[in-house]
Amino acid sequence: MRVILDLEGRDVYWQMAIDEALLHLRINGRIDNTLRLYRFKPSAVTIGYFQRIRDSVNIDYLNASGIDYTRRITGGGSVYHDSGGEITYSIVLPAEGALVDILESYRVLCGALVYALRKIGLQAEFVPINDVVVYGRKISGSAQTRRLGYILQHGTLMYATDLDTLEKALVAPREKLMSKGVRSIRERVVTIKEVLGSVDVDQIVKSLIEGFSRALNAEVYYDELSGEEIRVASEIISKYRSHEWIYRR
Amino acid sequence: MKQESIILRYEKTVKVDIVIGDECRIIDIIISGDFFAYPEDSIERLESKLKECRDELCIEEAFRELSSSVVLGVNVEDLKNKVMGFIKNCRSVYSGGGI
Repeated sequence: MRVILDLEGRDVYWQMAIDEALLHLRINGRIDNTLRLYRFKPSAVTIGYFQRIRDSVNIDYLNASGIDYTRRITGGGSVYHDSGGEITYSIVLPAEGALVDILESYRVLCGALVYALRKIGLQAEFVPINDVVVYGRKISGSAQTRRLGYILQHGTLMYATDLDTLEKALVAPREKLMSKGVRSIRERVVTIKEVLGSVDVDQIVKSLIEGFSRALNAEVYYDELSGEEIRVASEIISKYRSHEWIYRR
Repeated sequence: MKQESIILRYEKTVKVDIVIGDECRIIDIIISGDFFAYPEDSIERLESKLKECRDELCIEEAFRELSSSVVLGVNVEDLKNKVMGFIKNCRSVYSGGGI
């Protein structure tokens, strides 16, 4: 499995375009199975493919705060990506073996996050469909799309996310909060720093790579984004910036 | 023309925004939320087929669009019944108005 450490940070449009480019290139056999770890810089919000933008984020707050936002090609909910408090992963690979079944594939791939969190001392658990929780509070969410027999799954790991900003940026329906037994988004989520008191990002990164390697029983090798990946992402990026895409629902 | 919304809580949250026109016909419908559907465009195809529906048979037929899809976090049968509910309510208002 190819691993790309892309932790310097780029904007949300670029990061979404790179993830989609990796999927296209994996489908076409141009790249190996690839795990990428990255950050959003500046901080940003993404919403799920099926969400209505006005129902899922506080647009006035985002605009006033200069927080970028776009729609993902994956389902799931809205996410605040804190440039200084979150690592995002994406992985592209064929839907084979245990990954054929969609629910099971979430379990396998989120299992990498569970492993990584346990490795650094947190009692993490996978909660279907797509969450990883610590003491019942969400610390990681993932979302996956499938094209032509290949999977792109990406997800967050909150190590020191500013949860006050997260709460202002995102909107959750009252019905959703009630079903989770909480009164606010803030009560529903947690960060590594909150639980452990400190954070070693290098250790988290190392544990994540080990987690994916074990979950997929794959040897890893390190690489960088190729010229072709950058070119394809450059062709896709305008979609993620476009009003038509962001407001399509 | 009547615009209505409903929020449904399954494993995931679904919001249905619907516009119902003359003769209780669905003019527009958007099914949104934090759920997952594979392939994703099956939801857009469903919405497209639901437009112009004015009876349960048409809605039943439209939901067959999802028969070969995987929708996670949504009780599709219940969602279908809720969409049918909009049409039934509309009809009952119309028929009630005539009495």
